[in-house]
Amino acid sequence: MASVRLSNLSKRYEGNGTNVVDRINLSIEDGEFMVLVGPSGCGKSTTLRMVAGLESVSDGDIYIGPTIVNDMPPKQRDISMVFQNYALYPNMSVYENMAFGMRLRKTEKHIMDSSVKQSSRVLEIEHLLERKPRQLSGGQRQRVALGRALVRQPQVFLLDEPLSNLDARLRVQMRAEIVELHRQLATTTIYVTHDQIEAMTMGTRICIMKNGKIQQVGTPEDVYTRPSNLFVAGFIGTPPINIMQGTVVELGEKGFAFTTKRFTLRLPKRYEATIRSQSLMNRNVFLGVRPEFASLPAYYGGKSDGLEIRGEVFFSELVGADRYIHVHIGADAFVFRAPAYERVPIGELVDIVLHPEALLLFHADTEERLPDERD
Amino acid sequence: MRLWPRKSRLNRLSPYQLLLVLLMTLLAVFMLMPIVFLFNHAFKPMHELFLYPPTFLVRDATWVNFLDLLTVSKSTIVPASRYLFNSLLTSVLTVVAATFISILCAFPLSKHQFKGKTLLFSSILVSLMFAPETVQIPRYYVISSLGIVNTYFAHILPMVALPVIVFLFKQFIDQIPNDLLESARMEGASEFRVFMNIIVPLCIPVVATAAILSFQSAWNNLEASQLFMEDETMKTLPFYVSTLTSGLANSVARQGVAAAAALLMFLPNFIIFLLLQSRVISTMAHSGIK
Repeated sequence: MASVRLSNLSKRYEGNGTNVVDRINLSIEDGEFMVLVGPSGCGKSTTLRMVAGLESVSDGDIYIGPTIVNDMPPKQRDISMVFQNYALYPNMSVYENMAFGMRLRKTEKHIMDSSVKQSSRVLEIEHLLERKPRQLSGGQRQRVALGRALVRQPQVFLLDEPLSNLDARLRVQMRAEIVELHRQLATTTIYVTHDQIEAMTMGTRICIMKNGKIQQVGTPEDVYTRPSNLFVAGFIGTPPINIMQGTVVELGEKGFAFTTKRFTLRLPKRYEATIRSQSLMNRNVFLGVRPEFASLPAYYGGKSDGLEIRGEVFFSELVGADRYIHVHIGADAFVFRAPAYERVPIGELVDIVLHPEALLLFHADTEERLPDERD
Repeated sequence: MRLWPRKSRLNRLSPYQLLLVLLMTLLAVFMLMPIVFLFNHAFKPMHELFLYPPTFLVRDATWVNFLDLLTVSKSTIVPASRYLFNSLLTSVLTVVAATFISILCAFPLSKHQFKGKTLLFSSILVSLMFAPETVQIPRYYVISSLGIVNTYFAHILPMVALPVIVFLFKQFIDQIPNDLLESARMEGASEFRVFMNIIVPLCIPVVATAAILSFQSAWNNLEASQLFMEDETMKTLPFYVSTLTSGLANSVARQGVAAAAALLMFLPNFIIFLLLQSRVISTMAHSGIK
């Protein structure tokens, strides 16, 4: 097993000056499950394909373990990859699919047999070994693709959106199985997805990318509770975080407040130092509140502390255990969470308490999150 | 037991569909007529061959034309069976070589990037448009400078390069996902392994179509025998058939033999097509949809 390190890695295509992947630095520890996530075209797949050796490197270095592998052909990198459409060889049986790599290396038959048997047992596909890929269901194909990657016991696993061709239920199931598999094998894994839920639930760490640049790397809790900028805050979490634009004003002794045309909110004390040091008084900022950190007053135990807004309900969405209530505050939409049994009539004006411990402030120009005392 | 199982309303044809089926059937029968005539003609005895007005169906079917073809022509220096053997040998070799080489050519055209690729592919496409006659002289020149005049190579080599098949294979290989090849490369396969273990097996459905096309062109090829063969023993069946009638001053002699030979020329094409037709149609449908 090995660590993987990307150092100032860039990818440019000829005839197109922009960097698809732009000088990224990322270090993935031995045995880590790293998820690259981002919207389509953010360069996550390209990065993975560079690690795999399927794309050339324009600039920078890729280390697998201690060696630079920039110019090493894929087969010498001791990695294996699972593709989005599984890429099973349709003309070969499941057994042949799994044994293909070893056959090419002229592995002895009994070793090959036992490794295929072992991986197929782990993935519970032993009974499918004689079948052709077209006789398998989507979930079974997915397992075979995983098995084929597994059987060679590579140093690094690369998975390129492996679950996006499965239906929702199977996806949840395979998600758990892949995590469990990683727990057993502890092989360094790089997993690419555009689905932030997959990223949150699977990764030991998440790397969020946009336009070829890394936005933030961190544990799922980290990127969720302390997003580095507006993009990360908006990308991670469903329903997405509420963002409001307003101005910081000074209230004298009471500290600072965030004000818009419709409401004024007292900002928590922990932001005071930052506001002073960056002299943000009377400047624009963005305020972010996740839907679960805003609630009807009856469901908030703490003191509201001047953090109340009022909105007109226009939509209420039941998602099983919870209900998400959408309100209009002027022209802006705002979503907050309420218990499923809470029925608020459409058109009613409701008070909403924002939980002060979870308020996030973002700089209006750089869109970076403003640090507070907890950083 | 009912002879005609009752169909549900859904399966019943609408009047428009019925009309279409009727028209198509008529067209098919019309297209079938020359083939029926060919079969009948070959079995006609001498007096029926020259009947006026000619009859469509044979009345006194006889094998005499085929016997003539095999025995009478024995009296000539080269027996008809020799022409048949030459034809079969060269055609089969051509089919095998043309198919393999076409896949070999289509693979890099479809899946690899190299300089001059578009130029190469468009020149293959352009060569589709040449009338065969225009390349006869250069081709003769090439064959004679290669020093393979009067050998089986001269029969086979010119027919191996079939642009249509290259095009067909290229279109088909285009549909094979790149992931498949990349996955194989990551597992350590060389390009040739990728070709042999993945591309070729996946191309098998198209091979049927390619085989028919190349067999037809090889089997009916007259040019090689006329231009590149000096020995009578190296010439093929189409050449023999053409000498039976047009080579002679009068058009009466050996009409029966010619009719039998014409059927013999037609049969292999017919059999191969019958055997492979379902696959051919699926290839066509496949490359159309995707």
